[in-house]
Amino acid sequence: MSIEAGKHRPPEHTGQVLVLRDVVRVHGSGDAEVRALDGLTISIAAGEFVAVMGPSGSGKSTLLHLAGGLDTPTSGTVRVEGTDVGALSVSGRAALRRRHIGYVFQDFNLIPTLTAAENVALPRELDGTGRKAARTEAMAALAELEVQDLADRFPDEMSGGQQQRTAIARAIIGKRRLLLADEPTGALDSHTGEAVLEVLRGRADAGSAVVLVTHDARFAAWADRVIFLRDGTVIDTAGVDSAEELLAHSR
Amino acid sequence: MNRLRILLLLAWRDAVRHKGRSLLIVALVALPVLVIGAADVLLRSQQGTPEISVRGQLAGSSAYLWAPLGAASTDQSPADTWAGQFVAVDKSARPAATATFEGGPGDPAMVDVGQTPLRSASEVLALLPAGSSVTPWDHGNTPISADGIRYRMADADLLDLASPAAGDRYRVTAGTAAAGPDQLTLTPALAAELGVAVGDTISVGAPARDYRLVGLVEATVHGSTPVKAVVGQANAVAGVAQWNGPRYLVASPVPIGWDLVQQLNAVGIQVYSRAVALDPPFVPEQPYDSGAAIGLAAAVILVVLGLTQVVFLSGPAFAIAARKMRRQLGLAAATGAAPKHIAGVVLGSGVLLGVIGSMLGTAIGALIGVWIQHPLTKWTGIDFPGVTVRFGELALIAGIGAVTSVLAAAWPAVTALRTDPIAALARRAKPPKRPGMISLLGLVLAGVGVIVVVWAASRSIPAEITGMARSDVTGQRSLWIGAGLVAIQLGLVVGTPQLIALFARLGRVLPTTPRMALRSTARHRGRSTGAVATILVASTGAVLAAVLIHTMNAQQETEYRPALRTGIVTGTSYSTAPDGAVTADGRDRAERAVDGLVERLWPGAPSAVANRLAVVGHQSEEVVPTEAADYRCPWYSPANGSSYVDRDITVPDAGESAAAATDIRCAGMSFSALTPEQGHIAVSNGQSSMPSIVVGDATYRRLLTGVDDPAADSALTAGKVVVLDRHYFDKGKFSISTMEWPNNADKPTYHPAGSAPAVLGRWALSPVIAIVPPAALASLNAMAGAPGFVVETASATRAEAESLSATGEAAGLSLSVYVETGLPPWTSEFPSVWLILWIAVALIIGVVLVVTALGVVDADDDSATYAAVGASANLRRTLSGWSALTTTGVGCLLGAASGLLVSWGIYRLLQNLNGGEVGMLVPWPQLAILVIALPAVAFGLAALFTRSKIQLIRRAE
Repeated sequence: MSIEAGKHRPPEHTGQVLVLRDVVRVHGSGDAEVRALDGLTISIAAGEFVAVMGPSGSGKSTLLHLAGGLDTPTSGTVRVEGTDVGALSVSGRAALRRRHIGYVFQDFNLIPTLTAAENVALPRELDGTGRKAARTEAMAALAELEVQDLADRFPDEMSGGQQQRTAIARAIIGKRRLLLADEPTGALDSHTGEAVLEVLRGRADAGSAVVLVTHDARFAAWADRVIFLRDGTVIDTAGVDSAEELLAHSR
Repeated sequence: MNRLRILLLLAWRDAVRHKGRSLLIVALVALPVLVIGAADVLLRSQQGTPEISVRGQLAGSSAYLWAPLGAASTDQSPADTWAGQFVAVDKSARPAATATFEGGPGDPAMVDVGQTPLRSASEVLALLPAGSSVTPWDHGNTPISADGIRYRMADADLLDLASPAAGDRYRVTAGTAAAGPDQLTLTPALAAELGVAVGDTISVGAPARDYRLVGLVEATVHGSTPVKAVVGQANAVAGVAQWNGPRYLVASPVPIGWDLVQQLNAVGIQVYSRAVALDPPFVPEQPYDSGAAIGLAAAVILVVLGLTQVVFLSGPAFAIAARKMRRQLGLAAATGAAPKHIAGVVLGSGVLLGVIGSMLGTAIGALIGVWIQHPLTKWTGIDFPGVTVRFGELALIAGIGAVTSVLAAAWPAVTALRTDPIAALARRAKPPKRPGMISLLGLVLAGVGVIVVVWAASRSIPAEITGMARSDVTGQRSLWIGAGLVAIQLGLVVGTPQLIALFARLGRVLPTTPRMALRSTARHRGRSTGAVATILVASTGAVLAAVLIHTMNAQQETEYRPALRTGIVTGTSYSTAPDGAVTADGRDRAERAVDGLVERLWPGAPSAVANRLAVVGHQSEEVVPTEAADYRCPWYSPANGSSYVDRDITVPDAGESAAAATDIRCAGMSFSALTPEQGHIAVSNGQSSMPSIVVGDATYRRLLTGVDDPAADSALTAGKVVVLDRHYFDKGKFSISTMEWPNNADKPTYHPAGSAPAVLGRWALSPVIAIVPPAALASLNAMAGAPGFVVETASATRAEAESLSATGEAAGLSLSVYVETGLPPWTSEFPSVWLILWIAVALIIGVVLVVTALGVVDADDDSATYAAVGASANLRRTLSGWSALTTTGVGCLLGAASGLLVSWGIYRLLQNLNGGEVGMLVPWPQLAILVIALPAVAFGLAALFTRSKIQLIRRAE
């Protein structure tokens, strides 16, 4: 399969879904102080697929944690759908994740004691949606990822690709417009990885803002824009026309 | 509701996925509930339902009643089976009948209904509904023998089984019911024990006479009826001792209701009625509020159950379960679960496993409670009239168990509230916190406790403080020592995290495996602190009890003075005549009976008959020896009101006690509060087992003392008194006085009775002060009273002593028997010290195994790492073993140290109060078991029960 990055252009943007402005995140203190993000400012619009690349320790994961409301900035603001994440309580951030943010992890992170459908329905049920309604939504999400036949299987009864599709289904259930993917292809073979990227691309084309953290230029080539991080700051931003161009750029 | 469902689902699936861990938690929840459930069933079964209880009392009868003569009125509660033992007396109505029974509790107008003659059956019948029938029913204890030689005591019911009023209390299983005055029936158990069959002749009663066994009967009711019963015609067995009180059984065509009971009460008759007991009326003022006591007991049980559950058992288990779920909880948080949802999952575990554990525990406990009744009856004699299961109470116990397990999960849930999703997803563990200030304060508190104990124990009590003031000071000091003990225990429990951290630092020098185990114990202090605290308290208690029992036992051995030589049996009869008078004829008959008795029980054994010294007009205890004026123990005198029999003297302090003990004038007297309690068998019915002045001859003296003393024997033959206690030997004479103790007087008055020539016999240890030959009685103005005997046996047993007493009773003699066995070494100590030790050991092993199992579950990830770096498969076992050893060792060592310290404090206090000839003794074998063997056993068991292999890679199928 040839790599044709950027083959899907974003539709008309309908507003900024994720905005980080002058964000600083410091871990530890004193001699152990680490500035994971150092004055980062980026914004991602609805329908935009953005890849984040950089070496280990460049702040990619911290960026996702802040964007996902799992963490709060030391200074600066993080806004999701216009809501200041740093101003929210712990419960408020949890509600934000349930309703507006989908998270996809490298090692799938499905809850092993829940079936695929239950995993996908979890955010909706936690948000108070009835069991049947939540299952209906979950089945729809699973169908979108073409794994509806696996709805009643437990994670350890599925292959890696199937688990990741289920994880993506969990990330897109409901009316979420921000999809955060942390190395979602890291544990998959290249063929399955491509399939996952196709799904993410499709979500962006459907109007979601998608942030993909990856080390692999071939996968980053699926994005509309690539942000290069080093030492917590953006060192470059590039539009993507081809994987070869991106590879050259990343060098 | 839907949120709750998903939280419970998460908790349930996690529990099912990790079955081993869940089973452990269920077991920990179930254990205390099981004990309480079993106890509830046992208690209720022992109490029985009202129906069972009523049947136990009445069988098929309508009621029983006490109908004392001359009683004016009585007052009873509906359910009383022995309603108010005393009734008011109407002296004007029946003065003669009640005259000798006055003297109820504090009120001369009250009589004891159990000792009062009854109204006749026809008098009672006239007060009952038409068509009723009445039969006398009496029960008590009587001598019984198959051969007429050796008797034993047996419970007896005297009841006419042919009367309809007897109900179906007994069922005839062989032969017929007793119909004539010389007939009786036995329960099969008693017949088998006596080795008799229907048709045989049996001697029963006091004095005994012969009856023919005409049948075997079995009781149809449990409870109040003895298992072994002798059933004969009413009042056929004469002279039965220790009656519980006569009564009438009633069969009535109509129920005897509360109104009729009150009418009968008004004429002094007390009633236990089936109708009233089954449907008791409301009585506003109950004399005793048993509900409050039950409520208090229930509250205590609940608190103990709750604390045990929360602190020691399922609390740590839930904490570990929550830790193992951490990643799942982090995932749920990343998916949008709020902290309350995360806490809800952990609490959900508490609810699910708590409900399962409580229900299982209650069910198994109830089954055990039912199953164990039969063995318990067999082992202990506790009677269970029928299985009674109160499902409401069991449901309450299960509910409380479930609630406490939710409480146990509360703290882990609170901790889960603070779950950091990022750290959980990255599998990063938070570094353990250093032990806090509270823990440090705990150690300070323990230090203060040590100082308090040392201070209170080491200060001597000034000599000028004597008597009650001295006891008060000792009481205050003991309070201080108690407070010190509490401070040490609390301080060590609170300070355990600091101590464990300290031990972990010492671990640097250890080899790899124990070092890792020690650090793991320190790192998971939350898990190990509860266990160490439990072990600490248990081992403190065990050491404290062992040291004190061991020391007191040694003290007792040192102080024990045998009253007789081992194997010597003495028996003493006494006169029941109010003035102590014994007729010559009666005395001769009794002497022959005693002689025959000894010959029958110990044929050919050396024996001698001797009599109490009696003075006409005085009870035997009113005849006392007169002290020699120049040989009076300065610390003691009968004139101050002390009893000369027990010779136990309170002296000001240990110094004076030592002085008194070495003063020849006080020889043979005891100066310690540690009175010997073992070493003899006394079968007595309230009288002194040995008289202090005995009328006897040289044979009696030789058998009693075992000392060869020709001078004394010659003196007895010559008609001189042999005095065995120097205090009463006054310049070649022995004198007696009679003692009177007028009402309301502080001291008795003494009147000299007579004096006789005497010699001093050889023998220091003697309950007998003087042996008076018959020839000296006239000089003393005394006479030979009730007879007794001395017999030399190889080694008499308790059964023989009881048989002797029963046989004496059958012969018409009220005998007190005393057998010297010598203080058996360790007899008193062995069961108690070892029992306490084994209970502590069982508790400690249980706690350690549970904590180790939890630790193994908790350390799965570490174990995988060890395996990945090439550690042998046995490392897991060894680590478990070292971990158990560390926990047990720390707990036992600290517990033993604090136990020894407090034991020393208490020992010092007792020594200050009572003196003592032995130092504090440490039971080294028990201590070694606790401090050395137990940790080693814990190591072995933990290693044995730990699985060495783990699953390193989990594959997707």
